[in-house]
Formats: sequence, C-alpha cells, structure tokens
Amino acid sequence: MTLYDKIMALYPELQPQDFLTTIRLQNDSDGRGDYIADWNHPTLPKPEIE
Amino acid sequence: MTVTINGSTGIDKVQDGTIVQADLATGVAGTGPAFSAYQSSGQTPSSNTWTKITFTSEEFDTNANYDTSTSRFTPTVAGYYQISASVQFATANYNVRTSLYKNGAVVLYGTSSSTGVESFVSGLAYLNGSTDYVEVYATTATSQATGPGQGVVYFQGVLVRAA
Repeated sequence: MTLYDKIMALYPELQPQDFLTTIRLQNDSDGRGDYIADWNHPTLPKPEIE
Repeated sequence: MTVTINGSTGIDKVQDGTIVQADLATGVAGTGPAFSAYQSSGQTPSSNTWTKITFTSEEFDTNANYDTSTSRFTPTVAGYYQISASVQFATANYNVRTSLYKNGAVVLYGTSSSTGVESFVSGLAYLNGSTDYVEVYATTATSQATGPGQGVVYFQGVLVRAA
C-alpha cells in the first residue's frame, strides 16, 4: 500500500486534486520512498505515518 | 591577459573570464552554460505523489553542469536561466502536472492536464553559479510509467542573462 493509499484510507473524503498543492506527497527518487513534504489542508490534521 | 582595442577610448586590458553582461553590446549572445537531457528509461511514480523525474541521458551539456546521476542542473555561472521540461506518461490520465524545483522547493508549476498524458513547465530562474540547482518533479493521478525518449521526456536550460 502506497503512502497515498494509506492517506486515502484514513481520509476518504480527500480528492486527487488535493494532492496537487494542498497536500504534497513527494519522492526524491533517492531510494527513500514517498513522504509528506507539505500538509496544508484546512481541516484535516497531518497524519502520523508509521 | 587579452589586450583589445576599444574604438572610443583607446586600449582596454581585459582578463579572460572577467567580461560581464554589461560589457556585451546589445544583441550579443554569451557562451554561458546550456544543456539538454532526456529520459531513456521509464519510471513509475506512486499515484498523486510529486516524484523527481530522472533524466539520465544527455544530448549536450556545454559546461558539464548537468549531472546525470542526480538529474540536477547546477550551473557554475551566475545568472538568469531559461529552464524547460516536459514529462509524458504512458496513458491518458488526469492531474498530470510537472513542476520545477530550485534547491529542493517548488518554484514553477507547469501545465495541468485533466485528460492528457503530458505536462510542460518553462520559465526563468536565477541561479547563483555555485550552490543553486534545479530539478524536475511530476505527478499523476494514477501510478503509471513515464513514456521516455529524447524530445519526449526532457529537461533543458540555458543562460539568457549573466548576473
């Protein structure tokens, strides 16, 4: 399950458009995988991903 | 040291490497860095995740300022650079978008396509000639491979005005 899938499972009300600028998931292609670079959603708190 | 004749004031002494933009006549192009890189093998970002696009092949790199191992352009001449990039995915999708990063943070967003396969970003960036670097990131709504190739998935830049 990708980081995006985990977040969508937690917050199913999110839309793909939210991930263009409001929420920024990022992968630097350096082998470290996906991570949350920015979380600026007005109501939903940034999740703690384990 | 190079000695040149200046038609209006006499003889000027100009050291190699000390000519700046103000010394050039209007319309004279310099010989600043220019590069063109492209992706030769595809990569598959996760859905809705801004992923650094890798451009591992070069068409040209006049000043050896582009690094194919990091897909970064770090020019050694300070100035204003025209930067362009295009990223194409394999199949039509939505929320395809490209962005230009400077020093790890987004500075320019590219076109956003709701139904297409590609996105293009182009603009100017000031780079300090030592530590500043630029990279290209892209995102797509559904995880899928890029459609690599020269002239298809590419990253280019050129110095248009010295600092």
